[in-house]
Amino acid sequence: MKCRSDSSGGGDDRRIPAAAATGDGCSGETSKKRRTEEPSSSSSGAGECSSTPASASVQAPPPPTQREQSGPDAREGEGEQPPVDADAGGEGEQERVPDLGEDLLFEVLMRAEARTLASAACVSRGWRQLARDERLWEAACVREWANLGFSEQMLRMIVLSFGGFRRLYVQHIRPVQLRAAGVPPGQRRGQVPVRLGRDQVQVSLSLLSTSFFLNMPNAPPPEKDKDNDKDKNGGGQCG
Amino acid sequence: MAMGGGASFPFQWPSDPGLDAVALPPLPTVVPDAAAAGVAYYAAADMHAAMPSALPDFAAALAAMRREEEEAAGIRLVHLLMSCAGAVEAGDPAAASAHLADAHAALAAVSPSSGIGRVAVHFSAALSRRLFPPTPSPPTPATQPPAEAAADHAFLYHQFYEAGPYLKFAHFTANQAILEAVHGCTHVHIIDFNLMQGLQWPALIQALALRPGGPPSLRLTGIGPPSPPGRDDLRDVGVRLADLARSVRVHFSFRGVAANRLDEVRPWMLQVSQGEAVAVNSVLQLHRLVAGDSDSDDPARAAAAPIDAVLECVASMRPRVFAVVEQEADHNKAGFLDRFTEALFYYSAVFDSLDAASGGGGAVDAAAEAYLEREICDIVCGEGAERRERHEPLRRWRDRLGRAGLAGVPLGANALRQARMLVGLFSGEGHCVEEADGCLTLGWHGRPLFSASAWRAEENNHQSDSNADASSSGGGSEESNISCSS
Repeated sequence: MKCRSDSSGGGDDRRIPAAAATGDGCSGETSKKRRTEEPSSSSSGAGECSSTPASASVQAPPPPTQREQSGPDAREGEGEQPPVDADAGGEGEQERVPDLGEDLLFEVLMRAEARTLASAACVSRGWRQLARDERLWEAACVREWANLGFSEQMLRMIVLSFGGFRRLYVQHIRPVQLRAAGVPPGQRRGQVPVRLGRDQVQVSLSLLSTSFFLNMPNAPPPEKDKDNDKDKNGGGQCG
Repeated sequence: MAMGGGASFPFQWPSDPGLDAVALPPLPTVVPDAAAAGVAYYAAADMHAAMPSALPDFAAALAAMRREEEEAAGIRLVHLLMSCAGAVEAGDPAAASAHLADAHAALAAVSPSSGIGRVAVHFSAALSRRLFPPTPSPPTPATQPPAEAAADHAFLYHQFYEAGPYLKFAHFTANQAILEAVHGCTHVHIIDFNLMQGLQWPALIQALALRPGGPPSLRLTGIGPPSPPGRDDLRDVGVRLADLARSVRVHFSFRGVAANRLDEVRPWMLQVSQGEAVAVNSVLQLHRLVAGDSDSDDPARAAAAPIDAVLECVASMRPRVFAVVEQEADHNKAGFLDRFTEALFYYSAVFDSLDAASGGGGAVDAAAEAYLEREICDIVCGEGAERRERHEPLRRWRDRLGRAGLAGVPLGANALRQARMLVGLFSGEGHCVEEADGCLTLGWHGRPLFSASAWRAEENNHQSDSNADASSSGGGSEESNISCSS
């Protein structure tokens, strides 16, 4: 635990191996943390963790700034399962992802990009519940927008009423971003997301509100049975 | 395939050297069909070396031939349809039906999934209907029981909304114009000439909620056809919009005005209050009011048309903005052949664009097609009072609105950028949004399909909107309907 709090505080790494709570608890933790980073690091080529956790737990860990920043902010794969060799790292530990404490994990994820949040939600049920928190997604969304001059409170109220930031991101912002990066519509995987300008955000918000309206109960037209959204995360106040 | 003993898979890649001679069955030395295209296959041993290079040529040659044939068939079909239309105009039903029969035959040769194939089906069906009006007449939109007709129309409209970028473009651009025009106003009254399901308004409500300084107090007057007894469709939409507005704390009220035709609506029915900023919204409605019984362009005759009465009504309300979206086509020509030809090319472009928006490959939503088919049928079969789809190009609208005392408001770079972004999200390549003289047009490969423009009354003296307003309900209240004689 201690090493985690150190790294989240951006402290120096020298203490990390030494400050292990248990014998190989810390290295176990770092390797577990790195487990979720594995896919991301390898895809982003962030330059760390290309070696297996086995060797990492033996060597001194790379500088914390690099690791800790590449942790939350690394570009992820699509949340694939942690690589099998993480467990073959040689420590022989079978413990699950350690309980870092929700507050701590939350703080880390607050600084994460949206795709990281999506991947984090694939780790375990507990992480999934946490990663769906609207505040995290709000932070991720708003961080990607240039300064737009919206009142934060108004924005929050509006977006939460219309389905939440997570829905906004997944259904309406990401397509706009992909489009802006030149990815043709319909293709889901794409380049590094671009920073959104005012126009793009306004388009996304319009789409969110229209989509919310269409999915309100007693949706028009009478004949058509719209598929009800399975996911009413932070949903509106109607019905 | 017989395998040498010991292979565990039922299939081995031919490049496996151990299996070539043993496992693969002997292949013919020359494939007869390929010989016609000038390509020969070689003996079995060289087969897999030769195949990769031979096949693409053969397939490509075949595909090119097929394409050429289709194009030729398509052109022939268009010629036949136009000859038929010419014969109709000349008043020669015998020749017309002969051409139509030929066209039906030609249709068989054209793939129904190609652009021309799909649209030709509808046009030849429409011609057929014009030449041989079915008796007893099956329910047309005009003769259907109104409840059914309205529900059908609502469904098709919704599908058309989803299938392509057109209505989204219309709503979005009109909203932008309204948003900019009512900037700074504390009381806004929007009059929607055709409420339908109110799909345009959630986005505007959201944009108003988010504007710096807080949202204005919003009133919406929605005009629509009367509902069958026991239902109140306008009010239902109003209630839903009110709920939505309440959830984002926009003060909202709604009134429905039921009327079969826009010229039945009188200014007093709209109850415009002093001091409010009026915005009028018309999406694909004005063309239905043009030139009643005569197709003449004579301004004197046109002055008696319902359109001018409505435009006068609009101008008298001194709106901050009158947002107009119309089809960019000339389907109101007097001569039938001219009209037919224009419509044929216009709807070809629309169908092509719809195809691209659905991802290509001919998977256009049937209901969206049906929506367009109704328009086609109306343009081809309807005459006089029956014809409602009298599309006119933007330049003609400019004249009309100018005569009514309305001046154009340029739509601005913001609107253009956002419209481009929106259209890009919903459609493939080929759609373009262009700006001309302050109006935006959505087009397909350079052919404009829909135009959006904004207008305001000339010499509009803006009074500062007063804050004094009697209504006190916080959130969404919603008022009763007023019905006009239908």
